[in-house]
Amino acid sequence: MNNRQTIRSLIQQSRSWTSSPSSYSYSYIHNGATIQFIRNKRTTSAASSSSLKKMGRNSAESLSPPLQRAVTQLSVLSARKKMPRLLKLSNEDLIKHQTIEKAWMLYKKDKAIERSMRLQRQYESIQDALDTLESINPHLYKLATSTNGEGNGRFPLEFRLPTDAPPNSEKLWPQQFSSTNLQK
Amino acid sequence: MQKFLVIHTRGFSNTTYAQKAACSIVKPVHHLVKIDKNRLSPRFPELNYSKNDIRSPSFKPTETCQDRVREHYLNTIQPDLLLMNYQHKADIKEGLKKRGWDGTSPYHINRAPRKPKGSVAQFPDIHPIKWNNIPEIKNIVLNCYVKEAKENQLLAISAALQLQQITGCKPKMIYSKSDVPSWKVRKGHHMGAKVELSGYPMSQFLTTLAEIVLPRIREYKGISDKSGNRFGGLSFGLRPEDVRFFPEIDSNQDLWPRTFGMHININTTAQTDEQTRALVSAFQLPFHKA
Repeated sequence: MNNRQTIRSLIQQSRSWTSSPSSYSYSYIHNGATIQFIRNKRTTSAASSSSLKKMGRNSAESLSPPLQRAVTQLSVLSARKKMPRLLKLSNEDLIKHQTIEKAWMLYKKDKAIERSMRLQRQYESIQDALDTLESINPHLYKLATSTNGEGNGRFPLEFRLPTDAPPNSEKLWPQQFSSTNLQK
Repeated sequence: MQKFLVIHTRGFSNTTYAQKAACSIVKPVHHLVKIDKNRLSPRFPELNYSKNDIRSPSFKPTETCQDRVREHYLNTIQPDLLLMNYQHKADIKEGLKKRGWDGTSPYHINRAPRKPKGSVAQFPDIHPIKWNNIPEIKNIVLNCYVKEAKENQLLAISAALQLQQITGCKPKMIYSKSDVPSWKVRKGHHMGAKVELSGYPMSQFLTTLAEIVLPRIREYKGISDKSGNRFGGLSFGLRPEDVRFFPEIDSNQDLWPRTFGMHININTTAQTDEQTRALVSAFQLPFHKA
């Protein structure tokens, strides 16, 4: 407890010495171990510094194994707080980054518009086809638009998500495949 | 001058006191908009950047890798779904709505509208599927409620870590909402964790589930063919022994003496159960007829 208080006061001192809007990181040496701060957050864990290691060992001895386990688990859960260093970009770098980002967003937007247009054309062609069928052959139109109950619209279980490489390179393509064979 | 006039009269409605203003209405009106004073200070100029700006401290790169599930959805599944769900000359099917009163009595004026016919709640309209409203998976919510956590709170921490290991996302803790004496549940106890996945982590989880976990479950039948919540949601569960098949847990079994079952809720933009099931079946998740 005493250790912690001293560390906290040290942290405050070091902050008051070095913190300024431009300084993102600072560190100080305490009992031979460096503790680093990036954007006012400690990035080196307290347990890794030598003084706190001692303390941790003491507390580990006092904690029961299940409790120590939970403490470890919680520390894994909070690992997010160890933030990576903020990138320092020069003005030129920043402009480069923003240009690329903007271009990528425009590219994505164009792609989305193109996709939407394609889907719209698909929809309209389905509509046209059925309208034509209705005028040419009402019987076939009836068959085409009839729905035989629910549960028809399913993708087959063999419908696979594409991968870079097939899972089994020996059997690239099932030549003898048919859905009737599968059912047997 | 006072802008709003509050007349204290008792209405016909059942509510006790609805006239209370939520804020001061006498001029000068203060504090309508909360001010984040950190942003006003010149000390931290980087806080004023938006989160997708690389100069912001909370910047997080988004598109760092290819998302094959998303690409497959856009290239193949979306056009297929448009064709599968096409209905010729379909109109908007109006959902159940609250009914008004006919106005034969003067008491009808302020009376709350009647419930919909045959239902307590209103239902949304069902629009025919066109190119702009093709069903899509919005997010996946994994919910891990541990019953035994009411006696041993450490189990809830374990469950949270399990979710994080499986998904790679930070879970949120869940707490019991109310006292239930028959289940011996006390309000405010830490009972487990949940995690909401969207984007790449969601795709990653979906493929792991469909390609690694579900095929390894013994005598797995599939998701029930009746599942669905009528609003585009679909839920199923994994038992504690099924969770062991996730590669993250499978690879270090001795670290996981105990695993926890979880509920998997898939939220989609589909409008009916049938559409939802059709969409979900495209991601190699099997369905079984009960």
